[in-house]
Amino acid sequence: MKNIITLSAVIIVLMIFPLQYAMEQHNNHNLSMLQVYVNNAKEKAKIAGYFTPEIIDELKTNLLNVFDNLNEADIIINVTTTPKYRKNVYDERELIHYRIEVPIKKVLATPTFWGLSEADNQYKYVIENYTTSELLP
Amino acid sequence: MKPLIVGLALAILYTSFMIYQQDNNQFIRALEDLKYVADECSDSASLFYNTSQFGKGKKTFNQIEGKKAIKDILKKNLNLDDTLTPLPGGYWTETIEYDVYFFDDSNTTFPYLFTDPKTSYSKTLTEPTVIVTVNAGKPRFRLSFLNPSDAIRSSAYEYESSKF
Repeated sequence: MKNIITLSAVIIVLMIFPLQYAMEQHNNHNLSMLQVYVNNAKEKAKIAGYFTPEIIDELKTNLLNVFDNLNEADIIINVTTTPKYRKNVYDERELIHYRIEVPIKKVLATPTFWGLSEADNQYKYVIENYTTSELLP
Repeated sequence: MKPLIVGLALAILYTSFMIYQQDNNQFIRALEDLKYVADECSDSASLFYNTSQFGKGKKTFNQIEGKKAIKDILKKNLNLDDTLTPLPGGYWTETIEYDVYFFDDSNTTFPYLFTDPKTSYSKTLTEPTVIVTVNAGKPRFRLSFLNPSDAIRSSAYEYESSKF
C-alpha cells in the first residue's frame, strides 16, 4: 500500500515531462511554419519592391491558421511599405526591412505546478531581417 | 524507497532529454534561418553586373558591389559586428566565415562542374552563377558530451537567360 502511494506521487510528478515534450514539439512546429511563411512573404516582397497590403494580409492569414490561440491584434508586422528599387551599386537605403513579432502564449505545459502565471508563461518571438529589392526603377 | 530512487533517476533522464529536445529544435530553426541568409546573400550578389559587358552580350558580375552586399546582409541578418563576430542576443557564438564564388562569362566556360570544398556538394553550372557558403560555427547544445559539427549552409543563384 505504501509503495502504491509513493508510486502514484512519483508518476504524477513524472507526467510533467511527456506533457512538456508535446508542448515543445507543438511550439517548434508553429515557429518553423512562422519561418516558412515569413520567408515566402519576403520573396514576394523582393519582387514587388516592398510589402504590399496583399502580402501582409496573406501573411497574417497564414499565421492565424497556424497559431490557434492568437488573434490579429497579437501579431505585430513592421515592414517596409514604400517601394525600394534595385540599383547598379549596393545601397543599404534600398533594402527592404521586415520585423514580425508573434507571442508564444504557452511555453510550459504545467505552469501552475511551477507557480507561474499566464503572463509569465509566454514570450515574444521576433523575426527581423533585411532583403534586397529586385524592383527596377 | 525504491520507487522514489527510480523516480529521481527517471526525472534526471527526462530532464536531459528535454534539454536536448529544446536545444535541437532551436538549432534546426537557426540552421533554416542560416539557409535563408545564404539564399539572400547569393541572390543579392547576383543583382549587380557589369552593364558595359552586358551590352556586348556577356553576363559579368560586379564582384565589388556583390561582396559589399553579402557582407552587409550577413551583418544585418545574423546580428554581427564589422568583424562578423556575433553581437549579444543572437543564436550563433563564433565568428561567421563565408566564401563566395562568381562564375560568369569572364572566368568560366559553361557547363562547369563546381564542387564546394567545404561541403563536397557538387553542381553543374550552365549559366552565370553566384555561390555563397556560410559557416556559422558550432551550435549551442547545453549537454556537454555532445560534440556537434559546424553549421554550414550554401546557396547558388543562377542567371537564367531567355530561351526562344
